[in-house]
Amino acid sequence: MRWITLALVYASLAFLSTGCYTMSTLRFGNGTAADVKVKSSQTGQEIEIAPGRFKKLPHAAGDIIVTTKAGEKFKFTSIEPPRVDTDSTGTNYLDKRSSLFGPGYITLGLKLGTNMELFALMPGKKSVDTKIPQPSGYPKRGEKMAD
Amino acid sequence: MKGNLKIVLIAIAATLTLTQAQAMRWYSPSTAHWLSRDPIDEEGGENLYLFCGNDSIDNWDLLGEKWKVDRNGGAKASAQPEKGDTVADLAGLVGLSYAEYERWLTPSSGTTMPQFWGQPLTGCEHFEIPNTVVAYWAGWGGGFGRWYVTWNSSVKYLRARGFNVDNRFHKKGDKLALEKIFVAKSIGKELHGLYFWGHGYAPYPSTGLVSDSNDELLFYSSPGLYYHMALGLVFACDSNSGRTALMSGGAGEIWHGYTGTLYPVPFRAYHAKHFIKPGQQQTH
Repeated sequence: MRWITLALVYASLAFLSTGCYTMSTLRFGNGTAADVKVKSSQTGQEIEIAPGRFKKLPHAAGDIIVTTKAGEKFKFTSIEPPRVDTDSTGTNYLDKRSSLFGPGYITLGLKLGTNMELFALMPGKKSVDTKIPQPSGYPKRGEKMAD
Repeated sequence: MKGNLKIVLIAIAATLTLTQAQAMRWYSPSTAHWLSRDPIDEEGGENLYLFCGNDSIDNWDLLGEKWKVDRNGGAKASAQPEKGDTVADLAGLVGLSYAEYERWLTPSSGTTMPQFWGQPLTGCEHFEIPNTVVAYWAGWGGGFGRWYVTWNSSVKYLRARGFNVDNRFHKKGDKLALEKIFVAKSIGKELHGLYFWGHGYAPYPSTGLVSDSNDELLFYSSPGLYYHMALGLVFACDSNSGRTALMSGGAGEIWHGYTGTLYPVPFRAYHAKHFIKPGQQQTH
């Protein structure tokens, strides 16, 4: 009886720590010569990234707004990590991490170019691999927003 | 006094033997004839003294109540109206959208598709309606996980309600698996509902359903449905974000979803019996 109770407690703790969601994040790289601010329209969360650096931003759907050092804003529409790789190209741009306990993660690497173009990166890479086709809809060009 | 009562009872029995009272007209078994005209008049055919085209084996006409839905475990269930019933009545009964009736209603041979959802029917038509519930397991822990949330017992319960349960376990790497199933089953007019255990996407609002191996299963913005479903028991984080995309919103719809994160506790009220009560969506 004690073993059954222990097993149930263990299983409950396992599930409680699992939750049942997959966190979608962007690994956003700044390929421009100055700091940029990157904001998720889904969550409202904003991060600041130095040139040549990468930072993570939780985001699953919607637009991304990039603000340059000069205060110009650029909108990148329909940035949806879960939808990347759902076409039939056979590429795997998404970095998927499961864990026995705790939530799973999917991460899409993106890199902003100086001409406000956003390229997808293969998992773990910091530069664009020109030999592998970009996912459908990429690279995305930023649309300048009115002040 | 006793003798008088006996005579009265014999008289009543004799009357009932000679003429059987139906809901709306009288029938004489001895002469095998209806004693009055069919109340649906010419809608039931030129001969006003026939009953459902004289085919009482395959047709029945109880008059006055509602649709008879026979869920017998098949991919589709049979549905038969009584006089005056409409497709909108049926939609409300089984939880589908009346506005989408042409997408889920299948007229049987000899029956035509009603012109609109509010058209009164004669009571002699035959239809088929969706009867398949997709049970899709994309959760954690395999057999242990299913035991933890009473999966097998719930599937058994759904089958006992007369549904055809398509019981599937997610295979790692099968992208958009649920969307593909929805496309096939809804275009075939078989899809009634979904029983699902798995994950949703964060940050919220969740954009779709995903497996524990992080395979995307469907997106709420394009779930692949030809019509909206009647039954949704979706045990996934923030699944309420997908309710409008998946469900009919009709009177008889049955939905159970979550807002925010779902932390499963063993056996806690996850069984399908807590969400589908006897008589709901008319099983027999």
